[in-house]
Amino acid sequence: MDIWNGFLDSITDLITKSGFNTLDWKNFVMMAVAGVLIYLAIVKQFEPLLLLPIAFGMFLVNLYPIIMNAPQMTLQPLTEYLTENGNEVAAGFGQVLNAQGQACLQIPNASGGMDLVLARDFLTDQGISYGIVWQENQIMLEIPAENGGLFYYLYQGVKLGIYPPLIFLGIGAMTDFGPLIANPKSFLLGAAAQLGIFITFIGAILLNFTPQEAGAIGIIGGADGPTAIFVTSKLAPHLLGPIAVAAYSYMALVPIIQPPIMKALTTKKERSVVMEQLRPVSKLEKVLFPIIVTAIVALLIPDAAPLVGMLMLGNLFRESGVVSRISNTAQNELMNIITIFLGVTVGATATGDVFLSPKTLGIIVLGLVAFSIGTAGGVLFGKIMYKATGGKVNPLIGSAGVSAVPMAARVAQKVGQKENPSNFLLMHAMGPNVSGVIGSAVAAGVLLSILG
Amino acid sequence: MGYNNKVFHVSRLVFSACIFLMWRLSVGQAERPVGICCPQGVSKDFLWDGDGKMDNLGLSITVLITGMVVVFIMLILLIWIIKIYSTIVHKATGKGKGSSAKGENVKKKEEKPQQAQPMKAAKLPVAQPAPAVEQGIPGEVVAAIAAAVAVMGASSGARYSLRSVKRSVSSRPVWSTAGLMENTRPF
Repeated sequence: MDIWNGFLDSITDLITKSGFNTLDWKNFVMMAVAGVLIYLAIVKQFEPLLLLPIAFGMFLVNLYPIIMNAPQMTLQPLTEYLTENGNEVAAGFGQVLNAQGQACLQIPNASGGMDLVLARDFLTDQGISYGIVWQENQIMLEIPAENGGLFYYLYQGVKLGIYPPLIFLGIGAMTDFGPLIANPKSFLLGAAAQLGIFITFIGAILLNFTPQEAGAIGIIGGADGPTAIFVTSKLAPHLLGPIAVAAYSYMALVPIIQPPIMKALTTKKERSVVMEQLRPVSKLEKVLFPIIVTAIVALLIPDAAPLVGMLMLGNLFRESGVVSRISNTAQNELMNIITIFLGVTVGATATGDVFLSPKTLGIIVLGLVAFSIGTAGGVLFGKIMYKATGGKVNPLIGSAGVSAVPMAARVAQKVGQKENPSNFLLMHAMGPNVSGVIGSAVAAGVLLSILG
Repeated sequence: MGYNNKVFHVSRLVFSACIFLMWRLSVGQAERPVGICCPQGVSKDFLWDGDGKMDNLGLSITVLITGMVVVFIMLILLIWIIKIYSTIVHKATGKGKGSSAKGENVKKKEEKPQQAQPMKAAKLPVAQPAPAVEQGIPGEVVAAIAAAVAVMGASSGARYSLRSVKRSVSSRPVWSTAGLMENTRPF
């Protein structure tokens, strides 16, 4: 009978703790959304490298929300802790708040008086790294009682802004800045295409998003996943899930979003312009480029330094030619590992409470607006350059200023080739394309500087 | 005024404005320390009205203007620097006065016939017939081959165009070919 009762209790316990009992309807809706994203990633091949881990992270967190839980803490008085650990002398020190409201210990000094020592400094000297709070007129230690979930610890790379710069390291190692160095005027097209970020910021403010949320939404217009995640993790981490999903989905939709805008803003004559061949770029120029760009950007926009610095470090690995092992690792193994961690943890932030809200619809609409205006800004500036050069610049390459490398450059090539099958715009479009990566990182630095 | 001169003068003006703005910011730095991206050396408090509510419209416009100006200034600065160091590198690697003078003469001669026919550059180029592509070859592969062919003629100045793309039929199996290449690589 006892065995039977024990069996029934175990089964009841399992059923009580099962997902069917603990999850609510929002979790099941999010699982369906994750299913749709998995379909888009595998069948339609929408940026599968990131969308698939994001979708599965979303699926997993809605099946088992505890996987993202922070460590559980208990509070224990400092006096009790020190006594348990054999430090009765220290346990007898008085505990007060100083004039600045910081917790301090009153430690007797050699001359018979009392020194006020910050509790934080005292604990550090003792090798105790727990957090401290002032409660019930005494110092309490925050002692972990239960470990956090798997994704909580992996997510620290996103929260602390570690993963996006590492992804940029891999991107820099894969990028050839030769077309940009050969034609530095492409930088202007990369700058013009960032218009989408700032116009979308205004739109988001008008839709009653906070300035920080609006900045995170606007950066979708930079068409740069790691930059969007970096900015969002600092300005509006609660919107990380929907913004990441929107950013990567729209990057995959670049071949659909851009061509109608490009054709609407240009004439047949402009689209048919054949550009002059780019000059060859020497190895010394390619080696100096990342060093100089890092120095200039880091000095003038320090908030952009982590992203641009790592991008240029990766590029220096590639162009130096003497660290091929490191360059290969940055492009392959490191990139893949970080992509997995970044993808699943970003997806795991997409809970029902955040995703199934009117804000998400606003993010999706504004993301599309950001992309479209960015494309239009680049093409319109391309038209200005077409007029200024007397017809030497094809405005279509301006659309590649959105930094979806190399997708946007390919789209410019395809649209140009439809007008003139012998027109090869790909390498010309790569200039604005890679300058858009730098431009969006600079724009991110500006947003972090103003809104952070 | 040529296009490069126009870019030079406009970017010089923009850069001077940037230096002036930075000087004004540094004057205001002692009173209210702010980042370079806040305008006019004023703290972010100027965006708040007396009740403490943020002037969101003012903030939006500030962010738009500041953002676009800073991005353009940064990238114009990078254009300048790239042009300067490219010139230095070219001179330092032996493309000195002699060859640059030759280059200028060649350029001037090329410019003359181009100037005589300014309208032709603006006219529609003669469309080349599309290359004959074997079925089953993706468009991206054709584009990559066409780009590689176009780059081939860069050094000699010749212009190649792609006429057809078809798969090569090899009598040797792929693994056999790989093995042959591996064994003959040292030679």
